[in-house]
Amino acid sequence: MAKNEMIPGTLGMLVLRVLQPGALHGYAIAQRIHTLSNDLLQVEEGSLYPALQRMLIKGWVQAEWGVSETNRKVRFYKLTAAGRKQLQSEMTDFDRVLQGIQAVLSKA
Amino acid sequence: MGEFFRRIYFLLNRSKLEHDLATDMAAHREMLGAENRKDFGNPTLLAEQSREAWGWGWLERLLQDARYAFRILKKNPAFTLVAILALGLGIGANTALFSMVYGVLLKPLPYAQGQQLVVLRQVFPKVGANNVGFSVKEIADYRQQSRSLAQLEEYHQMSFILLDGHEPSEVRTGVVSAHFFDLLGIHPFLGRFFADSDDVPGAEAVLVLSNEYWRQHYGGDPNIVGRRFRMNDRVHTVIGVLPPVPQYPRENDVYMTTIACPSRSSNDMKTMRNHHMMRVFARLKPGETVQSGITDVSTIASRFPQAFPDSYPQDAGFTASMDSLHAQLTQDVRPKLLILLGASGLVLLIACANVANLALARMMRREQELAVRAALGASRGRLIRQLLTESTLLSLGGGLLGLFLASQCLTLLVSFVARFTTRAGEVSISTPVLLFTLGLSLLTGIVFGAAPAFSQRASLVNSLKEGSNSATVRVDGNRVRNLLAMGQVAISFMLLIGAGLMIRSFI
Repeated sequence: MAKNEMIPGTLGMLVLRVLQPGALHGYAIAQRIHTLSNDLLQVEEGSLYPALQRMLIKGWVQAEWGVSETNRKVRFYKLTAAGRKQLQSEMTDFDRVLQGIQAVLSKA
Repeated sequence: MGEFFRRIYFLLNRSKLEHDLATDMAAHREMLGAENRKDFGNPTLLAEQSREAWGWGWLERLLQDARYAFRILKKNPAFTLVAILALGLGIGANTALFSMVYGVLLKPLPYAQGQQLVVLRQVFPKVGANNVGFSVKEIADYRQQSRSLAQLEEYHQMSFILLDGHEPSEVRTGVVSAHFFDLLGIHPFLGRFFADSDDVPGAEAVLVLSNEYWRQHYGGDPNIVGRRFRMNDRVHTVIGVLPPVPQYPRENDVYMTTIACPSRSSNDMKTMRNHHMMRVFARLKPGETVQSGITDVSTIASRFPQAFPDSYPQDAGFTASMDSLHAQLTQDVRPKLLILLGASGLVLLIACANVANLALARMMRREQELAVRAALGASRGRLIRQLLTESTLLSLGGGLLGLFLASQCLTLLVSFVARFTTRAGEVSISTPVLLFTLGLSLLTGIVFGAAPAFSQRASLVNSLKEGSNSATVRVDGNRVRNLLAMGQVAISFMLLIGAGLMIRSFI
């Protein structure tokens, strides 16, 4: 499989990030991540739905019923205030780690 | 809404949310299908994995196991009944005895700071007298000179005739100093308790009725306070009623102060140091222990033989000591109860071994079923848990039966224990006893379930190949069963000998 694997632990952050502009349903979340990453990242459905359930439990997202582009009743996931805070802190952490990694890679 | 409550919400609305999740995933699949991509994977498995995030997977599996176990047990009524009966007897015996042990030995006394209450005793060790009472003079000395006791009260029991205008009746009478009930830290149910002015020479005689006597003889009459009775040719006025607490050291019908008791207020009794009739109860000052209390009272007692050589024979080794009230009330019964509890524990072990044997025999016939489940993807751990769920379900059934049996034979046991301690009345199937039974049932289930669960073949696939009528006898399974049988015989033998010996010493 030539699928580009996600860096472990970053899926949640990406999902929260694509939800920041507005609510999306599950398929759209996967699509958006795929497109925004220039087709580099492929979200596996097997990780997406467990991650969404975890975020529901944590209170980072809320689910609301809506109608999809294919005219199907489906749940749209919406970022909550707690979710926004979580996204901020995850992005800050990720930045720091990334800087660290790049520093090592460039200097060693 | 915190995460905890959200989890509860997800648990309570599980079926609706499962449905919502399935709808989401179905829509997702559909949209994938529109793009001709079909790599969604196993939908059931994915839904299951997603639900894991709710944190209730363990509960779902437990319920699933329990439902399955229930069906299996219902299909084998003979095995189920025998197992529940055997375990019920074992758990019942343990529950009954633990309720005794708890009520008598473990439960704190129902009095304020009961651990500070002590019983004093005087001893003449060299003439073999270990618990001599106290005389009026001695009580006054201890009260004046002790440094470790906050309060010291006297008690003795008499039997008097009480005339209430109807029929004369004999009443067990506790004769106490004024603050005896304050010492115990109990409050009047009705009226008041004795005051200093009730216990001085010339005071009017007053009575406090025990709660039980008041209910039985006066129907719980709320206007009992002020009633006048005749006792010992004197008028006695009722001033109060005790709350329904157990009475130590003995059950009494009525209580009076020392001045109302003819023999206690006789001149001889008040002046003779060697009229040892009273018992002495005391409360230790905060911070004092029974040990420091003993030092204190024995110091006081050591002065008596020099001051009053006539009353204390020099060669009797006179001294004083004390025990905590709790220890004093239970010292006779403690070893008996512990022996019985040990014996009933062994009975339960035998029951466990019996049921384990039965379960092992049944396992041989169930191997194929387990092999099929293993082939369908059940892990070994999951199968072990399934079997342990079955055994725990059985033992919980046994626990229920045991609870019933225990409550049925409780009165019998209480009357046995009442021969050794006044605390017998406090025995009941209380919350700690229920918790004990629950814990014991779960433990029992795991103990007797362990043998069949872990004796599963490492490679279950082999049993699939053996065909339906596998008559092959497994050597290692037999070894376990032989061990169990040997253990049972050994423990039974031990119990038999113990029972034989106990019949001699108990009765």
